[in-house]
Amino acid sequence: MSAATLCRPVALVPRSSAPRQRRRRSLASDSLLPVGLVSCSCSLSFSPSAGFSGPRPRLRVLCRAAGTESKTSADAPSPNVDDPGRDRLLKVPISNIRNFCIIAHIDHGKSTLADKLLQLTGTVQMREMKEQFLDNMDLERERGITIKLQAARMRYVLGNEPYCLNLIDTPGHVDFSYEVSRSLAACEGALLVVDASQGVEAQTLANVYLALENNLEIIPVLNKIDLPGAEPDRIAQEIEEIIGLDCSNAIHCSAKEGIGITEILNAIITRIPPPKDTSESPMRALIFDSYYDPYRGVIVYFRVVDGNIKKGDRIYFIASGKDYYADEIGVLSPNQMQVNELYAGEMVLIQFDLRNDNCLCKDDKRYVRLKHWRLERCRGATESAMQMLQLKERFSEDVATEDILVLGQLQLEPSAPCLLLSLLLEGWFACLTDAPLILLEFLLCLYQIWSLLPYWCHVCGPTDILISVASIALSRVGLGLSFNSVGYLSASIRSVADARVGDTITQFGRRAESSLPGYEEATPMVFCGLFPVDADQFPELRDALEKLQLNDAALKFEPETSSAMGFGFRCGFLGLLHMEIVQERLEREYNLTLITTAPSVVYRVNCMDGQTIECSNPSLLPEPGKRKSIEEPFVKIEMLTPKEYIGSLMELGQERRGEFKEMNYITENRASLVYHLPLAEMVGDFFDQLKSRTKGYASMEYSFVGYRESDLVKLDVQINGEPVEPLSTIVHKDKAYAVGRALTQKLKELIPRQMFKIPIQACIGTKVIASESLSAIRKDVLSKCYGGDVSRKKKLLKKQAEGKKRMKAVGKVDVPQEAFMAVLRLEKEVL
Amino acid sequence: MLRSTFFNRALSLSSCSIPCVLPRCRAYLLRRPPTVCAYSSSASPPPTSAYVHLPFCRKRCYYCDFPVVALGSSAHPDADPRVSSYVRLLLRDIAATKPPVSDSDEHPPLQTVFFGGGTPSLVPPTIISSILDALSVKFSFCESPEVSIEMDPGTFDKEKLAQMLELGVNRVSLGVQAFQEELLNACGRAHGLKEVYEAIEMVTSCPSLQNWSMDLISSLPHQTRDMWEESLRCAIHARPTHLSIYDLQIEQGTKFGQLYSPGEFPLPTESQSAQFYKIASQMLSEAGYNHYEISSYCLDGYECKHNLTYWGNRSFYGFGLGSASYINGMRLSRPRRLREYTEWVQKLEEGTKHHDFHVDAKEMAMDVMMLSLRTARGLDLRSFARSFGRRLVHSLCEGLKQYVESGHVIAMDDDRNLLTYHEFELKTREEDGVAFIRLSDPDGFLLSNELISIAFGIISP
Repeated sequence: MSAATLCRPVALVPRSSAPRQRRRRSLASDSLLPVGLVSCSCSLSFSPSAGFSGPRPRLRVLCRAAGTESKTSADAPSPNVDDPGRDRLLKVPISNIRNFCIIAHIDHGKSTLADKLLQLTGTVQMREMKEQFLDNMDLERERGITIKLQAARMRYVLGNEPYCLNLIDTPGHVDFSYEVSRSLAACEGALLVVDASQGVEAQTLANVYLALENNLEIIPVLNKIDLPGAEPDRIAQEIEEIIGLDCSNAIHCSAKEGIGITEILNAIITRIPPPKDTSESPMRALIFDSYYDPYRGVIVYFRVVDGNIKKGDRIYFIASGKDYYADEIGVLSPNQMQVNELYAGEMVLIQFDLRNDNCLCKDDKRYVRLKHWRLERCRGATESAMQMLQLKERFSEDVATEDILVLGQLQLEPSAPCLLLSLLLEGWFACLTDAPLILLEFLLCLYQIWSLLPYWCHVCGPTDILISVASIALSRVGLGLSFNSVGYLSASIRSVADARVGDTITQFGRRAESSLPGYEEATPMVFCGLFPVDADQFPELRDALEKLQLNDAALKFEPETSSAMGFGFRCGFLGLLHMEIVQERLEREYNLTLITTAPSVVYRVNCMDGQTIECSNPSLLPEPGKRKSIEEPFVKIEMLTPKEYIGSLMELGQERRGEFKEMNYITENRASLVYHLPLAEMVGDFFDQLKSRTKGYASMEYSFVGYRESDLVKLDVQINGEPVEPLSTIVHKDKAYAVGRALTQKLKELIPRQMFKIPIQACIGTKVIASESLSAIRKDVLSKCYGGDVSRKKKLLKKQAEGKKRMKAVGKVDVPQEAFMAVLRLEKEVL
Repeated sequence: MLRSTFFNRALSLSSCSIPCVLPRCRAYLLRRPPTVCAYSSSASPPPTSAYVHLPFCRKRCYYCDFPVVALGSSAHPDADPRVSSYVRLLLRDIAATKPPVSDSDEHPPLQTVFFGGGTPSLVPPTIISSILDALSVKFSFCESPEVSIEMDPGTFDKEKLAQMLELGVNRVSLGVQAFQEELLNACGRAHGLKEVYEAIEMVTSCPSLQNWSMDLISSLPHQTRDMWEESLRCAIHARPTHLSIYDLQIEQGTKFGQLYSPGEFPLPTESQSAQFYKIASQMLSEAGYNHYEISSYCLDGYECKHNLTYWGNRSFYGFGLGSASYINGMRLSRPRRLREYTEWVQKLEEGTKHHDFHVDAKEMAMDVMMLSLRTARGLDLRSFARSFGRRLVHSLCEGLKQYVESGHVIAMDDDRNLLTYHEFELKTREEDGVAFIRLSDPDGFLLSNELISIAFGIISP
């Protein structure tokens, strides 16, 4: 093809037919010629035809190209030193893909090991490296825990073979075990990381069993061998005994010191099987996470199990039955990478959906988004790209009035056509908002060039400008995200509910017959009320919860009102840590001040009339006369402990109404204890107690076993004769007295004395089981009003008045917020 | 020579809350929202009271956090350069203070002057004379002004007292504080019990001094109920015309603040100290004293006119270290440190603007309420409604309802007849409503902070 063809000035296109159809047609045309790489001088001008409504911006692009230096030749692509990570996006055969995750107990070094793997494979550069790289929430970094699972793609060369390793980092805490199950399902293998000085813990065990159930290849790794107390051999034996894994080839490593990392990488490649080659099957991809991006809509993280996905594909969510066009596809490495996928051809990003004419509308949000994205991504690597950048900025500033754009001296090296085209495209988007036809004409003439895009990309390095063009092109050339890779996509999905975690993505046109086995939906186990301290913040709290939920599928909430606290939400969490994390994120990320009520579980109330009511809110519990019995959730809890603490853990189990099930010595010195106990008893400070009673050596794991009838009562608190709903709790009858006493005592401490005597009572129904009385203030008088200095005195009184405002009035009594808060803590102490 | 006169109690009380609006201000007032006019800052007449701070003491008492300069026991105040230079500064302060009247208008004469401290009785009478002269030149005095001075036992003799009275001082406030040697020691007073009796003797034996006040402090460390009753008996026996009973406040930065915390041994417990307050109220009432303000008692007609200025939220001058003034709706406090005060006076002379605090309507309402609820007269709801609106009065009545019921607040009609709770409820709903509310004695007074801050919460929700 000649330069003339390439740079053929685009004539006006009469707007006769519908733009959509027209474009379809042009895209469908296959009579395309290969394009040579030429330096050219071209002058392109186009303007919308008459009859367009609205303003009629015209754009003329004058491009004088000066063929200066040509950087590289086509057959010798040199890796761009600026971007060492891009080679990992090169396509590798399926047999060279490894998907794995890491199973480890908290503090056994999972995140550190992940850091080291990322570092060694050059996925993350030294200067970008920070500890716990994959934990990118502030909260995660601060607490040293992983909350959200993360995925990262690494490239590793073994024996001259490039391999693509997908690591899925998972949370270790028991509350987040559902996240673990999600990640396990996306892998073929797992690294079992065990602290060589501490041994196997309960949580690890549970996850290993999960992994074995999923038929994962498990590679035992003994971490922290650099520690003086490390006993890798003993721990290896322990693993063999407990789990039954062959530990003869366990890898000894120290993630901190970087010992044994290469061995781990090699083992991943040699021992973990590649995913099955199902590239020809209809596409099936499992969503393992999703979150909401205000600019792009819902971003879905998924693993392609069968077939492949291309940008622009019309995808179909089997469970929700919704279909979308995939606007953008990319990999996680570990940040979303949309640029480099061009090399591998595995990932494509689509930033805009050309099938939708709306996006060409200037006042449409999509347009704004497009512009944003453009400016953001204008970091060109080559000089010409820089030039383009400057031009582009000018270009996008006031495009409607700018008629002529002179491109100036452009190097028309191999990349030039792309740059030019992208510019034209952008110009088209920006200016000719109502003239899609012109683009169509363009598309027609540019198609040839696009077919060569991957080649150009190789030559000139990834520039952002390429992407927009390339993405369109790639949908034609048939490159897409192939099976068995982990990626993400964005498809202007407005609600996370449309792309639920665990759902299967397939192609709209070629649907898979069955969906993939999904994940169990996380069921909240612990409930509490969240109320804004400032009632005006209620709408903000709702928005914040909605946003958080997008990011955290396990969070459930519904509105609740309370006489003392006003409007708020009843929220469900996976566990106490989850609850704490959510509260903290709400307060931190959304700047809210919250009151939390005592955590509770879901009770099942069997009513006299045969109805069964689920109730998590003590204030909604039916009247005593109406209920026949109350059932509460029970959990099976397994504790691993050194043998010297068995006694105190049994005591703990008994105290918490636990039912002893079994005890096994897993090694000579360690035992496993199994109890069935009410979840409500565990919701409090059970874990803290477990840790403190065993000097931190014990670990635990729990799973829900079912509902059981218990002798439960509702304990109300009355202050000055007025019931205070937020302080109500459901407790076991045998514990009611202790809890009641402790509650009233604590409240007596926390409620400031008032001008009259206040009785504080804990009652079951009408029976008062504990009572305290708060004496009246006897004297609060500033007698000296010195030298007319009114302001000093007034300041004190104003402060006093402010203090009153922060309290909630319960009848005549002002109850400070701290009382509600501290009572929660007390609950933990007593229960 | 100025002599003390009895002033008409009724007159003074009726004028204390609402300053009359001068005719020249009227036009201006019409343009302002009616809610603020009666207490409007711009409408307030120029002060007729002046407070003069004389900060010198022998030593600082352990409970004291006033701006004080301790001279030490050996220094001779008559010749001490610290005293003379301070007085020069004070005179400059008086001279440089601009009265809030235009040149054409005459400044109303001063009705009251109060020398506070510190221990004003430490300074030589010549200094008092020069200050009174300066005030007279600047503002002039009315025919029979009330000129009070704080005097501490052991800092004056008969001659000095006579000289002071000669100069026009006609009211002495004697800082006795306690009638127990050990308590005087314990709170760091510079005098003993002997000096107390001597001072009382001097003051009572002086025929030209009819109006004198005694200060006592309750809830001192180690103070017992017996001691307190003894002090009260001694005080009643001395028969001052006025008594100020202060409940000890433990202030931060004082010696007591370091040593003690309120309600803990050796300080009396809260209920003990409430008991002390009640005992004082009861004993003094029985002895014929009116409990006319939270911490003030007097025989009929001997209210401290100067203090009534404060409690009536009327304007007053303040001169000297750390003193506060309220002129033209501006509250202004002078610095509490000598060095800063010196610079301050310098700036005042240069005419540089000082940062002062303008009292807006809401703040004014708080001031009026806070101050008038300290008094037995209470808050005049009629004028309060005129100034700040009927709605505020209504919500105030609503908000304080439960305390009327509990007896902490007393409601009265126009003739100051007490209203029962039922009557109060009915009246609140009526158009003309309740005329006065006051805090009850002693229960309401004892919880005055609590009640006033509740009322603050109503004014500023």
